[in-house]
Order: sequence, then C-alpha cells, then structure tokens
Amino acid sequence: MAHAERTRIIEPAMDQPNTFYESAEKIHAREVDGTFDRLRSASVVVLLGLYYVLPWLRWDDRQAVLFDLPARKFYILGLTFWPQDFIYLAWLLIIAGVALFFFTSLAGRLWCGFACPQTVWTTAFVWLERIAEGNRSRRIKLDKSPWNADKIRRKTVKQILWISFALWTGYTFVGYFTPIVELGREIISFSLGPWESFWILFYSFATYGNAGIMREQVCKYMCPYARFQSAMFDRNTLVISYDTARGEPRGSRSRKLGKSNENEHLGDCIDCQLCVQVCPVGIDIREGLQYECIACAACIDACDSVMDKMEYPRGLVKYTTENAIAGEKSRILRPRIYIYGTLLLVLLIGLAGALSSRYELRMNVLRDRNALYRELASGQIENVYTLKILNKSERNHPLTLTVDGLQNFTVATDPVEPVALAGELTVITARIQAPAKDNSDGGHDIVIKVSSESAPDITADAESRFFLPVN
Amino acid sequence: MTTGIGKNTQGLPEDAPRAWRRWTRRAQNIAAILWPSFLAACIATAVFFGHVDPLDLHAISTPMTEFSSLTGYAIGFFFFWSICSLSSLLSVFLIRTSRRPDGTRRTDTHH
Repeated sequence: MAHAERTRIIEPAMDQPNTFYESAEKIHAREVDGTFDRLRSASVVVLLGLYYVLPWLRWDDRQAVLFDLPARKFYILGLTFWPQDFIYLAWLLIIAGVALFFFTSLAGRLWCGFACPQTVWTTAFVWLERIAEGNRSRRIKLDKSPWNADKIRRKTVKQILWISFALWTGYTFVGYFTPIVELGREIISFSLGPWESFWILFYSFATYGNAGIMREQVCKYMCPYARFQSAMFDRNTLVISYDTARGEPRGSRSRKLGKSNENEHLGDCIDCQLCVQVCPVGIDIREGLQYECIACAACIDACDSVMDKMEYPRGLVKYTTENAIAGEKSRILRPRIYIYGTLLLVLLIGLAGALSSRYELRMNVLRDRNALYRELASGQIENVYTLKILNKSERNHPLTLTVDGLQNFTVATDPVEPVALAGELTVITARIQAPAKDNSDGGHDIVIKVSSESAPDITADAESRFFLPVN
Repeated sequence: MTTGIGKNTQGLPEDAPRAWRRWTRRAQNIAAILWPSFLAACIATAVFFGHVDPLDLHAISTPMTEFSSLTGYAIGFFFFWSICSLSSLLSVFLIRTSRRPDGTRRTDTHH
C-alpha cells in the first residue's frame, strides 16, 4: 500500500500538459488576523524597510552602506572593511550559524516564519496580489473564471505591481554595490553599464520567480534548512502543534444544540478548515508536525479566533513542546539552550570587541633588495625601505617615523612629509641613516614605527633588519 | 505523526483545490542541480575574491584586453556556478540511476 502510494507520487500525471508540475493548483492562503500575523507584518515592514532604505542613507560624504567591489572596500556606517578583514565576514557567518542552532532548538523554525527573505518577499507579493485581485475567495474564483475583461484587467494590474516591485528590488540590490544615486541617474539617462543592467534584471527575476511564482515550493523543494532543521529539535523545542487529545473527535456543531459541548461527544475542533485555508504551504496542522511547515503560526491565529467565537479556551493549536503534548514535564530552558546561548553571546562580544579595537593603521616593511647598505660621503650608513601603510580609517594621518634599535639615526622619506591617506594603501620610501661609529657592525634587528601626528595613539610598527658594514 | 504528503486536501470543501502544486521529478532535479550549486558558488566567489583581486588576475593573463573588475567578478561567479552545477548534476544522476537498497529499480520519469 505504501509502495503504491509512493509510485503514485513519483510518476507524472500523463494528462498534465506542464512537465514541471504533477499538479499545478496554486495555493491561495486565506487572510488572517491575529498576534502572529501582526508580528510577521511588523517583521516584513522592518526588514524590507531596512533593505530599501539603507542604500539611500549617507555617512559623511559617501553612501552609508556600500560594497565597493572595484575598489575592494566595504563601507558599513563608520567602518571600512578591506579584503584583509575577511575574517570578520567568516566570523559573522559562524555567528549566523550558531544563532540558527540557538533559535531552532528554542522555538523551531522562527527564521522561516518571520525573517527568511523568501517569507518576507512572498508576504509582500501576496499583499500586492490582494490589492489587484482581492481576497482569497475572489482570487480562487478569478483563477477559475474564463478570460474576460475583468480578469485581464486584474491580472495585468497584478503583473505591473509585481514587476515594478521586482525591478525596484533589483535596482536596490545593485545599489548596495554601485552608488545608488549614480545608478539611478544612469538608468534615467540610459547609460547603465552592461553588468549593472544584467544584475538588476537577474535579481529582479529571482525575486519575481521566488516570491511571486514559486513561493512555498522554494521551501518544500529547494531549501536545505527545511530538511535538516529537525536534527536541531528535541522534545523540549517549542513547535506549533494541534492538541489532538482536546480536539478529537472533530466535527461541526449541530445548530440545534448551540455552542455547548453537548454536541454528542465531539472534541473542541469544529472542523471549520480555517487552519488549512490560512496555511501558506497547504498542509493540515492537525496531521502533526510536518517538514513543509514553515512555522508561520497563521493556523494559531485562525484557530484562536474560532475558539473565541465558540467561547472555548484558546490554544487548540499553539506553540508547545512534544513533552507537554505527551503530558510530561517540559523544560524550555535546558542545557542545550544555555550552551548555544553562551556561545552566541561570546562570539558576539568577541566580534564587537574586535571591531572596536581594530587597528586604524597597518604597515608592511620591505627592505631594498638591491643593496644591503650604502655608505654616504658624510660617513653615515644608509639602508632603504619601502613602507606600505594601510589606513583603514576615514581620515588622513600625517605620519612621524621612528626607529627602535639604532643610535643617532636620521630618517629621510619620500615624500618628505608622508601622509597615510584615508582608506588607502600609501607607499613610502624611507632612507634610514645611522653613523657607523655609534652602532656596532653587522646586522641589527630594528622596529620601524609610524604614528599619526594628529592622533599620536594611532600607530603601526613592523620589524626589519638594518645592516652596517663589517670591518 | 504522519508526514501528510499528498493528503493535505483531505476533508476540504468541494470547491477547494484537489492538490497543491507538486513538482515532477524533472523539476526537482533541475532545482537540485542549480540551487545548491548557486549557494556554493556564492560562498566560493566570496572566499576567492576576498583574497584575489580580479585586476591582478587580468594583469597576469590577458593584460592587453579591455577589462573591468565587474567583469572579473561576474566571470568568477559564473565559473564557480557552472563547475558546482556539474558536480550537482553528477550527484543527482548517480542518485537517480542507482538501485534502491532493496535491489529494486527506482521508478524514473523518463521512460
């Protein structure tokens, strides 16, 4: 029986003209109002707001958040990141991974239901769809109705809304990499570069396809997290569950007997189907925890509203743990949560610490390879060094050079008054001269140090060797 | 606990859809090839270009041609994506053409 069921699913239906769908009935989730839906709306507004507004913010004389690929510099508010700072990105990804573990073992797929771009943009696209085509029942009717003037008009309006929104999304995305104001000017004057045009269209297309067309199928068929998140669950993880013991046997109430439970021996579930109709992935939560469930909690909102109407207590569908359902003691704050939580906190503090104590100046010293030393007419011995100074800050630093490990030295630099330019790699030639009589023969370990004249506590140093002739 | 696959319309009113959009094998194969390789290519691009400037690569390969760093990043990304897709393609092929642990053949869509 199970085998027959499986082959039925695998084999394509022969009468389907579309070779990519076995069945192509689109899910129209019913609108729902409730705590979780409002929470998600708030999350969508905040996250999309951040996404669309951030590239327009200014910081001093530049875009506040800009990933400047040609210059290989990432600007995030007051910070400038260089390729050398790759470690921060790796660190950030580790934090994201640990956070996923923490939140998943605490309350399941919070990420999926409230913060994943797939959910966030899909929600926005559904809002636009509702503007053009009306609520769920009108949309279902519209899809089934033959093509007439009204259907063409509504579908056209929807496509215009979707495509404009998708294009704006693509434009914003590229605006994180090319200054967004310039990008806008280039679009208006039709002088957009080929790669910028390509990536705008690419990202728009991806947004349109993922959030407009594919929606829940991305989660069902493409998302790796959906498949392995259950490995982070245990019996104390908060998940959305239907209280079978309380709800069953389900059944609609007889009007004659009113709202009371004297309705034969029915459980609290009145089998109104609302929890199924609001589900964006088209499952029935009453069948138990399923991997398709993205934990959006729409069914909780729907069921609570019905329970209120029936004057039954809320929570027939609710966030609870497997232990609680089984009538055992459930411990939400358990060692696992403390361990993940502590790890997350340590990593975050570490990142904050590392960012706040970042060196503004970095220096590399290369010795002149052509000559060990040069004897000057004055009797001084000269060694030549190339200093490569990276200024990660956004202010220029006029530099002072000093050398540890030599007696009575002098330094001549080219340029004469070296300045480490803001956000750039400055190359300086330094000629260090020291009298042979004051220093012993042979090689000396020295430390070359530069410090900012405007802020003496900002320094960088590097080790090298200084050679004197051996007599 | 049941998985509920294919049963999600149970007990729905008559006018409700019979079954939600479900992908064929072919659609799932395409997604399984392109999507994981896209993610892997993003990571590879970030790591690679975090350490290598495309302009440096250009200077040691074809310095006489016109080149912008954006072209370099794009070439790199699509290079990684195609290589990773190739790997996914082989994985999907091997899985889809193998016998089940019980020795029976997998029912394939392409017959």
